[in-house]
Amino acid sequence: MRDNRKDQLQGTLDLLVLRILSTGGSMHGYAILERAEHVSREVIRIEPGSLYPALHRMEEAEWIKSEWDISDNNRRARFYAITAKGRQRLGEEKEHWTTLAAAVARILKNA
Amino acid sequence: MARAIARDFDDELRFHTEMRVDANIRAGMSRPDAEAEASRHMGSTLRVKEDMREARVMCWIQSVAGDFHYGARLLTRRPLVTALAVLTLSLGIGANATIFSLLNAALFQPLPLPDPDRLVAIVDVFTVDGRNEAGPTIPELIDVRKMSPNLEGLSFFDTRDFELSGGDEPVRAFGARVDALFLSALGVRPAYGRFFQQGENLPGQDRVAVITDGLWRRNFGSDPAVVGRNLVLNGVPTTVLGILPTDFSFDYASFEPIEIFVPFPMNDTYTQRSAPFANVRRVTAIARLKQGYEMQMAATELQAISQVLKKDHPELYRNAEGNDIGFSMDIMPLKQAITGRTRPTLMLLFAAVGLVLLIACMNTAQFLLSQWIEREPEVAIRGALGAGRLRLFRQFFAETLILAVLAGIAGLVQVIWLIRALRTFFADAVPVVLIGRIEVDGWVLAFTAVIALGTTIACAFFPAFHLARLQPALKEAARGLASGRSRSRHTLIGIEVAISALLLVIASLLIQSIRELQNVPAGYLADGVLTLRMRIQGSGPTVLPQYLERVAAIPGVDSVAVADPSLLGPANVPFSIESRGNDAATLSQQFAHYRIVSPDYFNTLRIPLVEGRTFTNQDSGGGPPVVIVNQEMARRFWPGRNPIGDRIRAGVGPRAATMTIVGIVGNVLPILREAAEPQIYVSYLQQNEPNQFLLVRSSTSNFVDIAAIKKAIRSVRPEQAMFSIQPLTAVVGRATSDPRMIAGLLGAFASLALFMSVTGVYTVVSYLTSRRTKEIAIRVAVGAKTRDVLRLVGTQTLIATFAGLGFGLVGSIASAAALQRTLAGVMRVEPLTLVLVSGLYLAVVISAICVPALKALRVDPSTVLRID
Repeated sequence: MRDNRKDQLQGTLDLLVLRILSTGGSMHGYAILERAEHVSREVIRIEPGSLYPALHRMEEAEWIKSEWDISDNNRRARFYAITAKGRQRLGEEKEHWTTLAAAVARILKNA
Repeated sequence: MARAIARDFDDELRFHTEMRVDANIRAGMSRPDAEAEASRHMGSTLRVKEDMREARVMCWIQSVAGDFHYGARLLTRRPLVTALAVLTLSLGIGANATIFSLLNAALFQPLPLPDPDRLVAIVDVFTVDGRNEAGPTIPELIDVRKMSPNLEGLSFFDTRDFELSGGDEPVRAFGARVDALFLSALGVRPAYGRFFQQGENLPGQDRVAVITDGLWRRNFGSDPAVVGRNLVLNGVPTTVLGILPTDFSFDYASFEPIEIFVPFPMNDTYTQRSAPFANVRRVTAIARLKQGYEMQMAATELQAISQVLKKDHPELYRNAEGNDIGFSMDIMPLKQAITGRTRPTLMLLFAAVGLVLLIACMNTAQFLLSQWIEREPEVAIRGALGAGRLRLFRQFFAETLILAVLAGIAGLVQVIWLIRALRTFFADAVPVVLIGRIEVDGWVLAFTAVIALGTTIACAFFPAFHLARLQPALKEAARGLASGRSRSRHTLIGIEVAISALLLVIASLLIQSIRELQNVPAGYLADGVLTLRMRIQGSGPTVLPQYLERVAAIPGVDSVAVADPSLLGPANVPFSIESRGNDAATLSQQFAHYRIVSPDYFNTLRIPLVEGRTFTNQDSGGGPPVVIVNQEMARRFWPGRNPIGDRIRAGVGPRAATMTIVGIVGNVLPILREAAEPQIYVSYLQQNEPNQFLLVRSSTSNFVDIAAIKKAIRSVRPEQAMFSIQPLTAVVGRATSDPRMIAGLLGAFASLALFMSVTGVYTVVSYLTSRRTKEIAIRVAVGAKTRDVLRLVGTQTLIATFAGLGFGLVGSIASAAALQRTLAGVMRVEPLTLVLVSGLYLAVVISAICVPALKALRVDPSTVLRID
């Protein structure tokens, strides 16, 4: 359905989301997005149009789960939390990313 | 569910947006700016939602639910257009399901008797004259019973009116004379008492009867003690043996429920081949197949038996010229024997209504295509954004399915309404009992569901495939210039025109033939004549003249007569001319309609006497046998000569007599016949007929008082039952109601088809033309003339229309020829009809081309071009 390039980008987004959620507790989409921007010092900006489909896809894959709850400012929001399966996936993705990043770094340095 | 999911998504996105707005405000933006920024930040909501639904692809059901939600929203966006599409489709579905419910009642439902599949009818077949469902004679049946031990419960019945006295006044009861085995062969058991035993068919023991639950409740107050008591049947005390169960109903042969069963008199008159009436085919024969004894085996056995019969009695199976008439015996399911004759008519209606559905389908396909093409930009963009092709298809089908479900429900409502309307308008035509049996049962529901779904798929496939081709052409689609699709749309127009032209021609043909039948001077005057039926016990020649005399004396009676039950219908009997030399007409047997009438018959019906005299009461059993012929008979057989004084021999069996012609009367067209046929009239005092029509003409504009007629007749014979009291026009109307119903229904279907195809064709053609407004403007700008433009936009459509008309009209001529074989009174296709139908469609198509084209021509090219 999707080509490889898109798969990799998606994989990256999945990795980021899973990593953020793995810090514990549940977060709503807006918080995930803010957190990603904050931690990356505004370098990484995730579009809502990418984030929410990814969240739903990951929930479908049972890496994360969601429930409706009341947010800090008393609004109804959907909160996401990582599952055991998601943690396992995070490990795989992380390893994959590290390998890839190292490979890219080697090429940049040595090629 | 769909709504819940969509709200879920919306809520989640709204939360995000609000959070963003809050953040922006905190950062110092004004609220409008903050909202604008947030909405930019969110990007295309459409896209987000699309992808979010995509994300749920694993959860198929939820996704499909979303499609329905979306489809419903799209449909409600243009409620009027949607309503029109639903209406069109539902009219098609409703009409089909209604005719199906007729078929279901007549042909598909099993007989309401135990193990109905093993009930069969035994019939005589004559290959030479094509009769294949004649009832066997009783001597034949007795021989079959002797020779085939395998046919269980071989039995037979015929029906007739009975006069049941004992109540306030004698009433008529519809009854059957049956073989002793008949009721047990059907598989019923008595609720009270018993059925007939062997021997009760024999003279002296046959004063017994079995009555139905209905008669028992109505006439005997549900009193079980009536078993064993006597009732007076046709003036004879008869013992009630048993009462049938509540759910038993046998009404097939006549479509009128039988209320009383009596033993068939197995006396020599009926059982001996030498007896005068014995070889008349009067009964319907049935049997129950034993387990393991199949239809084919029974058919083979009957075939063999019939060959034996043919060898033993060769004289019975030859025609008047002494040629073999191809006699054999056959077997068929009882159900088929009972309802078989309605099959061609019902199938014709079903075919017609199927064509209507096809048109509805094509209209819907065109509607959907137009609707979806309007959404081309949206569809193309969604496709480009990654919505899978399958997704788009599924969405279209969801939308169509909603349409089909709505149309199916609306169709079902129409079925219920239409069945009620049929019951009211055609109560006479469709046998009353059959129409009472029509119901919206599981089969009708299933049929409606199936055609509703079938049409969905049929309607959606065509546009869906067109859209499949469209996705790469994003730019073109967005500009609305695509025109490659119009070829198949023109094909659709052509087919639609062909089908509706065909229906229109056939329907107008039938309606025209019915009207002509009704307009042809029938040769008699039915208005102002009241009829009633009665059964004369014993000596008709004694009581009938008295009846006539007493009724004639009632004030306000112009004239009164009696006639045998064939009345105005066809009643062919053979005759030959006795008193002439050996010319062809004398030697060969001829046929004429034979009627037994009283002297004032001609006066009462205003049939003119042309020559000679009418009957008098001196033309009785004691006098010389006399006969009156009509002009057509005189013209055919005595060309240029006067037949009065000549002798003919006419009549069947014991009625055959040599009679002298004493008069010539005007032609009377038999009901449903278009041309005069030879007719002969004999005197009611010279031929005994127990069943009579009494015809009373009033001298005023009102019918003669029924009570006065009854009183006059009962003053002669108090126990005389009189029934079926109705105007003669109603009797004639009833006889013609079958073809009138067919013509009426076909006319309704054709009007429906006309309405659908005209609106459909007009909408599509004008739509296609108006889509070329821009192109027309450009062409005009570069110098095209009105003529060129019209040729450009009209050629394809006109070709399609002409092709459609060609196929439709040729098809209608062919179908008219085929119909000629199944229906009475269908005539050849009139050229005028073809011209009118063609003209109508051409007018519709041309105006559909010209109106938008001329509008486009008036448009200033620069305005149109600036729209982009």
